[in-house]
Amino acid sequence: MSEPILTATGLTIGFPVKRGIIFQREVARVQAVDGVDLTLHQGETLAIVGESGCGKTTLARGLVRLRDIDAGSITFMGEDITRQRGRPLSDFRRQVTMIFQDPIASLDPRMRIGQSMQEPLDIHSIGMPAERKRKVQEAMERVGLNPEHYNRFPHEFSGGQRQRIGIARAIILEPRVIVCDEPVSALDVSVQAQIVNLLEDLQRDLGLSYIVIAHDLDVVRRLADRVQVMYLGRVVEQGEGEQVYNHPRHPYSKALLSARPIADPKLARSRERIVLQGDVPSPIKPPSGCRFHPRCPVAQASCSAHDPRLEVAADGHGWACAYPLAP
Amino acid sequence: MNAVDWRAGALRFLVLVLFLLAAVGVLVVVFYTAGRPLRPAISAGAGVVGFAMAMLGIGLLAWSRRGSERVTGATAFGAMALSVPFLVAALVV
Repeated sequence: MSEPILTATGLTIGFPVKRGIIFQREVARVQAVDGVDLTLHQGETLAIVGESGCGKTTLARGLVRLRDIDAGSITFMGEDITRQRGRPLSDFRRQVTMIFQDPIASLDPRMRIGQSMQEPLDIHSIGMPAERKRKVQEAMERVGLNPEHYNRFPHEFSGGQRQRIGIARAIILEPRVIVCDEPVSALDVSVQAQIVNLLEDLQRDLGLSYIVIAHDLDVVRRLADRVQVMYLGRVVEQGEGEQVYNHPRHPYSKALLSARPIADPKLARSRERIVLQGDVPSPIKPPSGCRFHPRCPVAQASCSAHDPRLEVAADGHGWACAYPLAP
Repeated sequence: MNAVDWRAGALRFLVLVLFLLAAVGVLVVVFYTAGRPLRPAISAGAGVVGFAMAMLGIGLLAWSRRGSERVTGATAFGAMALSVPFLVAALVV
């Protein structure tokens, strides 16, 4: 395995809950990401999965420094970028870009897409104006868009085309890492397949590393080399894609996988379904002990007192459960 | 965790007061240019802002009673208290 390109250690990101308007008082804190460790290698795809509200997007935004980090550190190519500002942060953002979930919201409706895609080049002062336009048109061609559509507005494109624009904008700075925040969840299935293929092609051609945030487990299975499963701001299981998919050890991972729709009705009827009881607990006041214990189908009495840490075995498969499932 | 950030609070309060005074100033100019004498124009300007703050306070009180995470009774009564000097000024000038 190559050297890690991006590493996060004990990453903690929270949001204050405030009372009052003029004289504000912090009454609680939503711990959206709580002590997450993460390592991404060159050319690798790391997927982060979990249900809505588990902190995936906050983690993604924290990794590209779009959110302030409360604790922990982020290292990019050996350099600590956790508290950097100004020029070093700008250089980091040139190397680590992001594809956003909603292709409509991520594009300015008043800007022509050529301008939108050229903006990163303007910000980082890359090339002369004529050269920038050529670079934009090359990026458009690379993602399967017609370069003649340079002067069109976002509303003149379909959802899939808009996501291609978002991808072109992410690759135009020739980054090393792209953080994809649910890149296909806003698209229909046939377009999803096109975008997944495009991401794979770009990774092969440009040697990119991806962090893919998703809740579509089939997309993750196709794209990811390694998977981290998040629950209530923490990583509960991690490992190679096949380890997590075929031999989940954490009950939450198993429940998540069992909720995946299967196209074959016979197969769907024959498989074991685990339906979790209750809602996700509030991240303001998480349960004592193991955070998953109130919903866990195999919870024991000690689970409410003992908070299991993520133990990673030599093969890279790790889980945070005192009573893991049999492989 | 539970401490009030007094410095930021004082700054926000100052900005609010300046905004209200500026609003009174704008209204005075509007009434004066519409042909009212200066003192009735000041009275009307302060009265409008004071009345608006009092109404805002009542609204915030209703909001806080309904169970808001952000708006408290203190916020609502604070807004009402802030309306008092403006209403007094409207009556006295």
